[in-house]
Amino acid sequence: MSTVIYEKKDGIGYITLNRPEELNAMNDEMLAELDAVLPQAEMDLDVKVVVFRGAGKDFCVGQDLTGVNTYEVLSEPGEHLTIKKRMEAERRRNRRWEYIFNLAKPTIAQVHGYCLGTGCYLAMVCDITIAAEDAQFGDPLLRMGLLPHMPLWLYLVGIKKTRELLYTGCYIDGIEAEKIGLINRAVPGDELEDEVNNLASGIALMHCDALAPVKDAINSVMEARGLGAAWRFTNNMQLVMQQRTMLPDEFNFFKARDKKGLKAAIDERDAPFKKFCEER
Amino acid sequence: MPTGFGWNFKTQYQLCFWEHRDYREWEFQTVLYEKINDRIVRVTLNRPDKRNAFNDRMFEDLATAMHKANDDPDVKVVIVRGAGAHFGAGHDLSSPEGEESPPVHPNVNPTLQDYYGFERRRCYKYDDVMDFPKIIIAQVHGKCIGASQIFAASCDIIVTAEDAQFGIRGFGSQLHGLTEFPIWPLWSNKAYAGRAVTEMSGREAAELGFANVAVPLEKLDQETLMWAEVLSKLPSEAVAVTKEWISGMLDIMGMGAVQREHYHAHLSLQYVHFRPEEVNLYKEKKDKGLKGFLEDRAKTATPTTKK
Amino acid sequence: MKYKNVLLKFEGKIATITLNRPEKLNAINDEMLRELMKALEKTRNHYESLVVVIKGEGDSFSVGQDLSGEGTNEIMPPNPRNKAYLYDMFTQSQKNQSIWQYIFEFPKITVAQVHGYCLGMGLDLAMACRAIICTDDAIFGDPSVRMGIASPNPLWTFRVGLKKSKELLLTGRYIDGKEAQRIGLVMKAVPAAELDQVMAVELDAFSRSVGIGGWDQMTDFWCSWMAIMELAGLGAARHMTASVNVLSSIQRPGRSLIERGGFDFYKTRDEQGLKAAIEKRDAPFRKYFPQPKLKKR
Repeated sequence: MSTVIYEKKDGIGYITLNRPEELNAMNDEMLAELDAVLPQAEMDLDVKVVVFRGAGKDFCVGQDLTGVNTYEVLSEPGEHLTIKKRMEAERRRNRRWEYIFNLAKPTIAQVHGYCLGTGCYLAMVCDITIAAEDAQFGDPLLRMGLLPHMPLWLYLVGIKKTRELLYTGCYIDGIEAEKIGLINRAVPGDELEDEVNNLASGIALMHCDALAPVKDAINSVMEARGLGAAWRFTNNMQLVMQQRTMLPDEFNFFKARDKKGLKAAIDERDAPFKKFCEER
Repeated sequence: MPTGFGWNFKTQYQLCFWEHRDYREWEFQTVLYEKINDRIVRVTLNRPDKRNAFNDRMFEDLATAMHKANDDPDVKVVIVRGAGAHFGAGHDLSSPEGEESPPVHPNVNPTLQDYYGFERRRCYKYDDVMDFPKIIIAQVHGKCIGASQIFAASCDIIVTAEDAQFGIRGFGSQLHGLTEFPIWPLWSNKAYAGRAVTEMSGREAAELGFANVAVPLEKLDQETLMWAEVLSKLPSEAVAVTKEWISGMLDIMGMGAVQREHYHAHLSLQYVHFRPEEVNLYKEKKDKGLKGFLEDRAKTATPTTKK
Repeated sequence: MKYKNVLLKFEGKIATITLNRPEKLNAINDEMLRELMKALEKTRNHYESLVVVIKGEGDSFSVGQDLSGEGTNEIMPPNPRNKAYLYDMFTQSQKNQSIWQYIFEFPKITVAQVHGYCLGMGLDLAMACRAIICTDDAIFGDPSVRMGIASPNPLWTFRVGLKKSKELLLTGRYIDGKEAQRIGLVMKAVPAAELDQVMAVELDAFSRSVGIGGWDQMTDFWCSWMAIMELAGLGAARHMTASVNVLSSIQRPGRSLIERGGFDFYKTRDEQGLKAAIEKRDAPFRKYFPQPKLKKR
């Protein structure tokens, strides 16, 4: 069963993340299938606009944290890798986001349920993001001692909100996400699919050579604003993060997972922040 | 050392605003340093009779407090707040000449070379605040103007009273660096982009994303402590690396120009011609004193038509 | 000052420049732009003026560039049908950029007062001003994508953020004053009956918004801000958007967009007239993006 499903209809290409039992967590297999499907969608002149969505109850909960089949997704501490290998791995990981950001046709993220970590990054690099009002956006990477490695945070929501969301790791709903500029629009959950199809259909009326330069113009402005350098810089900082010292009294996610299992580790990761985030 | 200022000139060569004082023998005069618990330090700017305006001593005390907190291996979070009714009114314009805070009177006629050094020293502190490798929270109430506003902007998080006042008419808050860095929404029309006076309440600041959260004044201490508690749970090295990443991102986005242009603008204060109908800073301070200047400035800056 | 397409008035600290082709909804052509630049130059040298209001005579601010094909050799790219050289297209695009740069960097406080339509190049003009104040039913938009053209305006992401920029430019849809205020495109959107009063209050506030160093220092601040914007990417962005604008405009018979069945605005205009071409351009999208309507006056 494919972890990524690709369909075409009426000028719209749909890419559906398909690991619903795992909340569409990204693992090596899913990334490999994305890598196969994206060039297809890009080169197909009949596809004017690409919609990303998630099977099941969620868009995407982020990286698969099991540690199984996740070499492309996440560097585990204790891996004995040379700097060169680490650099290559980081570059591959972020190149994917950069590539989707620069895909030569408009992209729409259709978000419902959880949209966290790298799932949130996918929604961010899409041109337009439409979400259910009760979708949950968040980036809890710092709680696990990982770098929240998405340069678009600063560009989209500004300095203070970036610090707040990355430090606290709190989730925000679709309505707040729209307010702070993370997404375009939040709609009632049962209207989401129609809203996205409507938007995609309107865009699909136009020729791909009308759409490509318009997207390129804005992405060029982003390049001029430093985004190109930001991708590489972010890769480098991920390498620095991997060298960090984990102090003995600090929570070690990977140790907890190996000892007590993934669910327990996630609960322990989130426990200190739960009350604060719920009362925000 | 002979300088264009005619007074003993402090060296402008310093590596980091908050790293050069030895805190072990230091006596804090204008700030209070308290450890709320192992992980949280609270620094209170303590010149309430001067609305916590910065003079040389308070800059030194604040810097030393930050140094001390950074070297304490248990500390994860620093809170900075103001004693009395305000967070801070900026530079202390009533400080004696020879101090860093008041603008240098054109009569002093400094050499451009010395004035460059003087202004760099004034303006580059805030880069150093951004480089502080632990979480630093500004707890704002009352007025938060000028240098105090830039300081708050350089902190990670701003927790503010709803009725606090960021910026002040008649001061000209363009070029407060981080307060107006051209990332949306700060350059959207929502923020009255390009308008020279940005005076906003704590509530407006939170709406705009300039502050993180605005609460009623009586809840301010508690709210700030809540933020400090939860953020003190983060792995400290990961925080340091993440902050470095954000600072690097801001450099890539052009932040360097902001601090530099800030002091270029200060330099221009030496050479401005005031229009006849304008409030002339230097003349008024001489004729009417600081209070008179502030009153007259407020009068001309305030629109007469009701909003 | 006797201009044909703009009006210029000085009153105390406020200069007012009014676009004056009301019968054409203030569509911008070569002559109007030239006169606008002259009026701005005069205002720049006018000591008393601190604030400049730009507004439109008649029913609209401006529907944007004049698409009739007449009197627009300077502001519009050479007609692709004439197999224009890249050289000419780039030179024209760069010249346009320098005009908008001049307005964006104008050393007095520029305020666009918008009612009715504010589209395309009209929107570029308004966005280049420091602030926009509008009626709540004013209509903003840039339908360039529907004609296969990428807008050369580099300010979008600074004003409304990355996500909204992509949405509005990729759909070409129109929004009303209320939505414009919500997304930060305009400072205030008010009922038409209140506009004059609100403008009076805001212009007064703007004219008093000098800082500790007076108006002289304000101009230094503004110069510094322009340096910051350049370093924040606006400098390169201008050139890049000019370049992409040319690449999109160069679509001509024998090249992709037209040959593969894309909407050929120029051909439709030459064969059926401007009004029909605009209708053909916009009609298919109304089903997906309802067009806001102006209130009856």
